[in-house]
Amino acid sequence: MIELIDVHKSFGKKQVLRGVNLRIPAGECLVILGRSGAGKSVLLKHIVGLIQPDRGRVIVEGVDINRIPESKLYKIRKNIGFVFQGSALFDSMSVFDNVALPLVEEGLLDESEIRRRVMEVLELVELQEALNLMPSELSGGMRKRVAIARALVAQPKYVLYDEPTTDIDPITSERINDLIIELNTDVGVTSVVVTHDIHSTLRIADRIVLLSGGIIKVDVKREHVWEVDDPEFQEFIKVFKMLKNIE
Amino acid sequence: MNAFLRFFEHLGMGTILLWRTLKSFREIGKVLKHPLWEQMDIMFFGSVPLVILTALFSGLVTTVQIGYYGRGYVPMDYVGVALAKMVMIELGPVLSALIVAGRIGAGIAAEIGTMRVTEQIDSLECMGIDPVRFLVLPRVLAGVIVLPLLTIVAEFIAIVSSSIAAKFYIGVPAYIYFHGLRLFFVPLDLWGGLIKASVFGFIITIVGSHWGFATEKGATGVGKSTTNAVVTSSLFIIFADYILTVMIYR
Ligand SMILES: Nc1ncnc2c1ncn2[C@@H]1O[C@H](COP(=O)(O)OP(=O)(O)OP(=O)(O)O)[C@@H](O)[C@H]1O
Ligand SMILES: [Mg+2]
Repeated sequence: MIELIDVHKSFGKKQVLRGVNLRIPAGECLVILGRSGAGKSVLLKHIVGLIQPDRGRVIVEGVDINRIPESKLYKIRKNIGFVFQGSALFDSMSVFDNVALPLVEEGLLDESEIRRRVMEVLELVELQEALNLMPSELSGGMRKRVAIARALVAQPKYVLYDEPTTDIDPITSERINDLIIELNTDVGVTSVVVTHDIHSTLRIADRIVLLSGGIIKVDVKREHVWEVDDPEFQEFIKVFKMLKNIE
Repeated sequence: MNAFLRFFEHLGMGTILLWRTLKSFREIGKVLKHPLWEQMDIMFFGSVPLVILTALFSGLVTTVQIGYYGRGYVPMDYVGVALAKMVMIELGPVLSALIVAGRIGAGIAAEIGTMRVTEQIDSLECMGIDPVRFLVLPRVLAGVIVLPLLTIVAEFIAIVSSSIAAKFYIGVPAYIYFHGLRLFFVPLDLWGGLIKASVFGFIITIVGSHWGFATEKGATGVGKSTTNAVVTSSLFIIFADYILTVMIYR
């Protein structure tokens, strides 16, 4: 379980988070909505301790991750896969080496086993052929998929996705939604997905929250989305409603 | 006031980086194979042409100058000794280091800086990989090893070019030049210079890494960091040169 308790964060004079309270039970697929600049990426980075809160606590599996030595934090992070908004692939390494790195560094598996696991996750994102390409040779959407493969390769218990389907065509995007659902329901991976894509939100989410004004303004189960009367939230799902009507 | 505060901020960050680098030596086994060789390769072959050219011309220039200063005071047979000592103790290590600071130091700052702003460093941390061990340790080790190697190359080239200049500009034939050189050679001249070179290698790589990590987001961030890396490491090199010279040769 992941828990954020009264998390505040400012950068200089700019208050980004002003008391976020969020509890993500194991096995859930949570979608975080919010406008650009609302602080979604900042919130996600709090969960892995890349950003420390000015006030409040971040608790992962019962441990306050900002009150433990770095070596313990590194251990906790190995259970968490993180897909960065900008992919954050290592420029100097091929696709294969990028994806293999977490396993190579862990040093628990032999070369052939690592190879097998890397191929397996690359297949999940349909990029087996891109194996030997360098990140600079990939399109934005391909980079994002490599980033997803890399986040999954060490079989984490939690995966945090920062806009996994942005920059990706609707067909591949649908595959990625399927993948997120599959990992969540079949493997039991706890998923936190930041997205603007309302279509994928409604497909994958067990629960949806809206981050606005530095707090969690709406927090609703998937089945109750149509009952929310918050105007900003309605704005988000309006497009989807219109599309439904056309169909 | 702001610049003053920033100076201390960087000093603090730099000290922490230094400490973390030293601590990461515990995991030295992980970098000894591939990453270290890769860095040594980049550093040595990337800089050796520049170092050779610099050494070639400084050998020529210094010899002509010694001929000019010494004329009438010093027997010209001793040009070789005077020059070799200058080259080994001072010019070889310091000039090579300053040239390399512009190349390797700036390169490290740019590479790590780009990784910082594109969240590759965050990504390493997320995988539970210590970026200091992964990025800084192999570079620092390579710097400590490669700088003395480059310095030896520089010294060799400078001495050869100076022996040629000695013949043509001041009429000292090579056998006299090298005879004088051998007569007064003390091993400490060579060792002292190589120790200096190692320390400079450490300075260049750690300062470059520091500016890489300290890179701010935005289009100009990486550019600023590379400039800062060159300026800061050059200053530290000159300063360390003084301290080391006093420690070794006084
Ligand atoms: N390291 C940082 N230093 C300073 N300001 C930051 C930093 N990271 C984020 N911010 C600021 O925090 C605010 C929220 O940023 P964040 O990236 O979380 O937005 P977001 O909700 O993810 O937006 P988007 O949908 O565009 O990705 C922005 O105003 C941003 O400028
Ligand atoms: Mg974001």
